[in-house]
Amino acid sequence: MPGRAFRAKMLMHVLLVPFLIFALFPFYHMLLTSLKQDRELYDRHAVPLVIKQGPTLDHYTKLLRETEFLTWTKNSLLVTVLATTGSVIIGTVAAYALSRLKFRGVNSFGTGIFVTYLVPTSLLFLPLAQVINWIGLADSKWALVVTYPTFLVPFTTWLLMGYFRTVPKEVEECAMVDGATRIQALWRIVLPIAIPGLVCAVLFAFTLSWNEFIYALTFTSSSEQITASVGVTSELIRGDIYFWGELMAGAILGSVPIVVLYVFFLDYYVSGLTAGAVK
Amino acid sequence: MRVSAFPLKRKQWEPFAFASPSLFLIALVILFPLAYSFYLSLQNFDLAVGPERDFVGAKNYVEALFKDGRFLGSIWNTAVIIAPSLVCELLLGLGLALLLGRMTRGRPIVTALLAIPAMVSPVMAAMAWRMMFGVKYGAINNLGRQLGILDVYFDWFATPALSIASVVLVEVWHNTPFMMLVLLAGLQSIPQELYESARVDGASPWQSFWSITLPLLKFTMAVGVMIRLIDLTKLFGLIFVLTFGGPGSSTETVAFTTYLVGFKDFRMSYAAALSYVIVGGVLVLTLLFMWIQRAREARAA
Repeated sequence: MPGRAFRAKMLMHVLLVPFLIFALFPFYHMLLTSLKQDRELYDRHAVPLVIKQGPTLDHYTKLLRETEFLTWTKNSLLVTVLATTGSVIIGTVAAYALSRLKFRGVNSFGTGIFVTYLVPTSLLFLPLAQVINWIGLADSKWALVVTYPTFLVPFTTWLLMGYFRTVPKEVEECAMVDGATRIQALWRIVLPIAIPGLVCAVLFAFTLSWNEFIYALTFTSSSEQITASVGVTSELIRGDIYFWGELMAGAILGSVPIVVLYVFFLDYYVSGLTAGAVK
Repeated sequence: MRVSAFPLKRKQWEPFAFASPSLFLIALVILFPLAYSFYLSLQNFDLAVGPERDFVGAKNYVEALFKDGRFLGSIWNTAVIIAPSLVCELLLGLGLALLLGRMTRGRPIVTALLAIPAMVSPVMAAMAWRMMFGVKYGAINNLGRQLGILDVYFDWFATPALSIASVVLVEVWHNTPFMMLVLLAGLQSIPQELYESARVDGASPWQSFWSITLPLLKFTMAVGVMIRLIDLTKLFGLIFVLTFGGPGSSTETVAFTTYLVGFKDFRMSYAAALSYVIVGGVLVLTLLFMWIQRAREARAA
């Protein structure tokens, strides 16, 4: 029988190959495009799968020198870090309150948080656009720092609620009987146990705000204020002209941080899905 | 109850102190916009006309539900994009999760590689595919011509049907990994002993798939499908880059139409009314889904 088991195993690996190609080919193609010379890029007879006329870093240098790409990336980073930090802190406290403390309406509040996930973005950004005008943040990256928590806080709260429920209550109750305050119990006992959940929440919140598009598109427009995803699409596409080399260079530079982060923390991601979403 | 057995109860203020900052913030960022949007939807605020506004009652809702062919069309477009996307994502995700679940060596690295598409933003994903679909210099056309499969430079977004198929393809590419990861997590929570005892009893792999894996994975599948369903009703970035709603308005999704109404036509009140119609629709859809799920569980028990 080992022959048959071996064949089954081979078949399994062979079946995965087309999916791996399907999943990864667009990235390979992005990389090739960003490294090809324009001459080869716009040659119909060139083979799209390889670089024949020698790679070049032209598109990258153009992207960094002739556009505001570095400013956009800095904006993205600032917005993402501030919005993520704030949202995870608020979400942690809210999730702890909802999963541990008994007070009136706790269940309906939990449901309410889930319902906010159903709300289409357009319902929030119409009034938010007005609020931003009122407080004088129109066309400013700070508008994004203020508005991203509208979808990050409910999401992190929901995720962490599921996670805190898996931390046994007895541990912190023992600590509190021994005289620890509620805050000490949360800080010293619960949070260290819930670190995988926190990592997961940070990861999700970071990705959601890094990849966010519709708020950034509507709330900011000038070149010094926009984020990377808006900058790349709005300044490297002029009408019908696509600067493909620069676009792909920008897409690659913009995606690398997230992909590295994920590959590094994939286990946390999966465990967060199990705790938050599946249970 | 456990609560009364501990000295926690004397601190009645504690829950409120803990919950209040976040409750306040959530109320501020969620409830205020919701209420304000609703107020807006009952007016005729139109920035293209001017800043003045009047109360018009349900007029916007009547227009959205009975007169606006473009919006009603966008509901249909959204459904036509969602249905095949969900089916493909579920089936492919399940297949991949099952294959990965049986891998003994190299699973983390293969999982990570397969998951990469889900990590890039919809805009970047759409950009990569937009280039490959390009008419003149796109990789798909060039390769097809060079291999002799295609004999013209094909426009992959020329007709509504093709355009929708292309959007679905990119959507499936982008989000199947999410389904795969959710199902893989669900698969790993099934106790291995069940499979072992089934094998001892002489069950074939096929039988144990139908009577162990599938029933125990049902809930996870339902959660995964529901998250994707809700996300798909918000489909925007992919459309914005890939088709911009075209050709005609054949790939305008509800989120895209609302965006155009609000920020291109500046009909703020009408856009708010459209958003409320969408919330209503999504809510009904979700409740229906949960209800079916619950009914099936009840029948199974």
